[in-house]
Amino acid sequence: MAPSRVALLLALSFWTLASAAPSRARVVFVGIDGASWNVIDSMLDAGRLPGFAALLARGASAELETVEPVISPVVWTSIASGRGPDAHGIGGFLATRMALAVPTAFERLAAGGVRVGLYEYLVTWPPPALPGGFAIPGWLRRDDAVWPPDVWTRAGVSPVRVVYDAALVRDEHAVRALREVERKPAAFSALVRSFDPELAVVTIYAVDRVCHRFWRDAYPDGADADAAPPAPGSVLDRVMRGLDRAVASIAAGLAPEDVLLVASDHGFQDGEARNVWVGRTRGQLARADLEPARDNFTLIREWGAIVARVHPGPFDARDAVLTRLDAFYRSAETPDGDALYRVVTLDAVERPPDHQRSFVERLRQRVYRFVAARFFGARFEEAAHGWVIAMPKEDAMASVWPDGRILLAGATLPAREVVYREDFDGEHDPTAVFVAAGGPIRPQPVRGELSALDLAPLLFQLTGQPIPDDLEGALPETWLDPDWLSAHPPKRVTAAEAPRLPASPEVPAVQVDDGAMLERLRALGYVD
Amino acid sequence: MSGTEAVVRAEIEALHAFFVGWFAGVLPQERLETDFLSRFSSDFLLVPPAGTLLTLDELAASVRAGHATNPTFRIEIRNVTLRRRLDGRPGYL
Ligand SMILES: [Zn+2]
Repeated sequence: MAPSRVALLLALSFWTLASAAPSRARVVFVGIDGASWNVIDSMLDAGRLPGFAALLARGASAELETVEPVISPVVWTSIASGRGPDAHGIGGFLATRMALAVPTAFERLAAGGVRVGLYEYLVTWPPPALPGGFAIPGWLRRDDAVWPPDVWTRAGVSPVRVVYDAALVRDEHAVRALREVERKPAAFSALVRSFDPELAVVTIYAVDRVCHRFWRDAYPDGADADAAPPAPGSVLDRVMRGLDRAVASIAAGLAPEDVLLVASDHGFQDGEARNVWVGRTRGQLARADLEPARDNFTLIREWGAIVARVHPGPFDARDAVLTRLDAFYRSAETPDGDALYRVVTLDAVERPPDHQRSFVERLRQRVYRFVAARFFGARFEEAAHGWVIAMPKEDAMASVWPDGRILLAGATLPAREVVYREDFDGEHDPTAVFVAAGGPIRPQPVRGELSALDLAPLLFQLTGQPIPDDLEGALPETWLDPDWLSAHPPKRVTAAEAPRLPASPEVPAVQVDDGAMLERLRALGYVD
Repeated sequence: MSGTEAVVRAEIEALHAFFVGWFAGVLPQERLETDFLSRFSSDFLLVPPAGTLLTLDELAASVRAGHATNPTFRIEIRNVTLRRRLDGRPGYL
């Protein structure tokens, strides 16, 4: 054999060896919206969560103290950023990633060279361009954009995603929640296989979804969730057992040196029965000849308050749409002529002199903005021509529900075609769940305490990256094996020196060469 | 009546004709498969009002156990109306 061929073969075999060598240990972070210790502990005692039991036997757990207000976008963003709500700027359910005032650990790690994959983490729309990784935004997304755009094709699976954009009857939530825990692990493992991220994050919403709606069915006759497991066969029991299989299957795919972190954003408890009016008006907009894409507006949500955002653009055209949306929601009445919504229109641009609002109207807008920000975390700061917010009036809604009629845009419709009443019983509890196992995590038989803000430092440490000094939590060093810790002493870096993804002021971390994404954002009026 | 409504109506009537025949004991056992189970997708889930979840296997077991248990069983169907149509995309939960 000629020497050159030997050299080539040697080089090739080294290359093959190098590429077959195991990648850096992986950190897998499973977020379970609404997972609660009271539910888990009673099911563990009853032997109904073997997956969790196995994980706890080889790992450590904590009661996770959350941040206020205890709502998912706020808490998940605190977990992701390591910062409290005042610092991160995400206050409620209208939030997008563009409202983030600080970078998340995910973005910083990606900028520092860690391959990060995010599967349905909340407040990650528009999806950041994570080098080598992927970002599939959670249900607060405004459209189905993903990064990279061919993420599902590359993973070789069809999309599995949670949507809350339709008013679903109670049964549908139960079925979809169970489908989520059944189908998400396989989709997640396909994503992990094809992108090989060093930090892989997946969030599951099934538990929150059913705890709000099926709590009393799980704990009938006032049964105490701390004392007894959910009724066998109840929706919560089924979903928790499905979740247990999901966690077990994710854990089974990991090597011993990999780390599995499981966290929730809040727990659950028996709550006061309350109802939420969910709009079904999206399908009715055509009655007023309103069409979101053509008329440059987005119906952002219909859950509780209905919120429509008119995109920035030529004043007269956009203002006409704003006026028509306002009129559309004002036209919703009971047969007795009572308005079904309190409608507020908010201007988001300077109005020309001949289109000024009255002083009273401007004052009304100011008061509404204050109340919305103060009590609902809704800030309406995004680029927009204006907003139309329609808030259901309880008495009028109750008078037509369920079999009455509603007048809307000149038509008389069965009430159920316009609204749906969701009944909630379970309610958020501020204590969340945290479990860690594998790699340098020290098994601990006794449950500890941690803050939601401590998870970000842990993510930096576990992925070998320096911990930025603007994080509010502390690295839980006692959770880590002392030998590993002395071999990997925590490194610190100032916030200014911490790596950042390339960003433009309007669109954080959407790279300039990401043409498709910029085009999308331009169409939605977020960039010029 | 719309096309969808006609399809839905036919489905409801056929299914309930089966229930009557089954619980009354007029239909033989082997019709469970042909007249009932064949109508469902294998991952069908039922949520009864009590807030439990039944898989198709569990539903089949409880229907099977009810064969010929109520000779005078009757069901009346009136005013079938299509209230809402969900245009879901597969995989979007
Ligand atoms: Zn919730």
